[in-house]
Amino acid sequence: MITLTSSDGVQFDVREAVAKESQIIRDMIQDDCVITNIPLANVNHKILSIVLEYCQMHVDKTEMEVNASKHQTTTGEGSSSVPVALKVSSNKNLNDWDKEFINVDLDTLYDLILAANYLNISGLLNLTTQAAADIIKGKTTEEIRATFNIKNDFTPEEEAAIRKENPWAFE
Amino acid sequence: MSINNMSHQTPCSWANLPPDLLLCIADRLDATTFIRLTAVCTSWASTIHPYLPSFPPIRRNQPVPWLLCYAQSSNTGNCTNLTFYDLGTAAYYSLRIPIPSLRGHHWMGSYKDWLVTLDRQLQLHLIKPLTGAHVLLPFKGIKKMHPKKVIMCQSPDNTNELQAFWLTQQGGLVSSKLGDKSWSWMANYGTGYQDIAVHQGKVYAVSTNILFYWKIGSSSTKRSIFPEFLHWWRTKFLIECNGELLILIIGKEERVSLENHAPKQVRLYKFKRGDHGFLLSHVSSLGDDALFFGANCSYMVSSFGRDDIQGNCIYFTNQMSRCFHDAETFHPNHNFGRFDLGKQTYYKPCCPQDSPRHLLPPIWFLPR
Repeated sequence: MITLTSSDGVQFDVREAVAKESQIIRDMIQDDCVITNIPLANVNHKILSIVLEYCQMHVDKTEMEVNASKHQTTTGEGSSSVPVALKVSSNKNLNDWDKEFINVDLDTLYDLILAANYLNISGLLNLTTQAAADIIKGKTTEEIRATFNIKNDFTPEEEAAIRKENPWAFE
Repeated sequence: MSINNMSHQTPCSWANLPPDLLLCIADRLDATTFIRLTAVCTSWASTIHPYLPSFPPIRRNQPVPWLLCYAQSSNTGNCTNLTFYDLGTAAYYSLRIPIPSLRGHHWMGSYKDWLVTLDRQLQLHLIKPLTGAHVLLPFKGIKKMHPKKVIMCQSPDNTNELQAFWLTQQGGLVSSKLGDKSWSWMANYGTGYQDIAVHQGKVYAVSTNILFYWKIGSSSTKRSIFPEFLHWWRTKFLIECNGELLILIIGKEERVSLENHAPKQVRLYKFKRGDHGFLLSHVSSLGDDALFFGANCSYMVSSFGRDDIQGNCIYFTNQMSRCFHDAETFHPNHNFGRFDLGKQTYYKPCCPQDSPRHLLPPIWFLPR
């Protein structure tokens, strides 16, 4: 077990495999195998618990697959297509789960992107940045500002100049 | 990324998203939305601006077709990079579309600003390169019936509805509307069709010497026999352009290789309604117009007031030369050429030789 401490001092005890979903924690543990308590200065407990839920789910799924295929090879029964089918269905389940998981408000999504980047969890970074891209896709500049609560800090001249470069994209 | 170098967290301010993360999101967007990000706020502008795709100027009113030359999956596999050639600037450009894998797709042609592709399961896809829009056409194709040509048109009942017509390699014809569950066979009179076009709510199909036409949705077919002098021309192409129906005829009996010989015989005729079917009138000049003749879709563009394209010319793609050349004379870099209708002269391809690998056939489409 490893203890992760959030920026606001909440401790999470997790299995090593779950913590190792984070590349940065994996590197730390490999460098020094006696580390058991890792403070995470940039992730508060609310976001960390969501991140750990993601890691837990992905580790569980992977282990399930490994066990299933081991079971298959030891029993030696059935056709080889079974584990493949199982894998496909579990990938599908995991994708569905990811989709449901990432259905969060924009503040949380923002924090999750930063946390996924900080902890270097590539799967979560892909998932969160794709979710942000899906929200942005097809929106006008004004809609993007409104959605993400971003203030237009251009002077009118600056904005006009930018739009003039590729006017067709703003029509 | 080091564990120590993270900037102080500001409570959810998307404007202050670190540049590498903003780029990570932007890389998943289509070109149009990507460009829009530069106008959101100054911080996003400074991040995104250096990565803006370079584009030839896009004129929505009178666009000049781009030649789509190559499609390739991006390194990450999230996107597909399209390489196209712009006549106006005589340069290749790359365009990223956020569609993961189009590997194994057969690029069929275009419909205005849409590209039409066919996947291995014979499912048709429509893709708008500039916005990344992606639509699947209903159901799958008919087994062993690979399409030679697919044309799209607005349904006569509902202009928002697209309808596809599919000319098979065997010369049969099937059609389907967006939303239909399957394709339906259309009239075939035993003579394989060479080409099809849709013009003012009617489908036109040519065989060696007969023009068949019928109202979309109707089963009663009319026919018009071509004048005898046209019967022996090898290849007839139907073109729907600027509200007119044209027929392009190339080569008589000789095989012509566009690499080595000018196609000596190129004729363009316009269909005119007569009392008994159609009359053909010879088009000796296109005036200021240039005809971009391509796989599945052709475009007429006025050259008036511009020096990047020439009027009274037909711009061919490889699709064209494939109709003539033998395997031995095939030249993969032969992209497209220009036939001057007035001088009856063919000009060599305009693309540089060190061009990227090419799709067969290269496809004209309208960027807008």
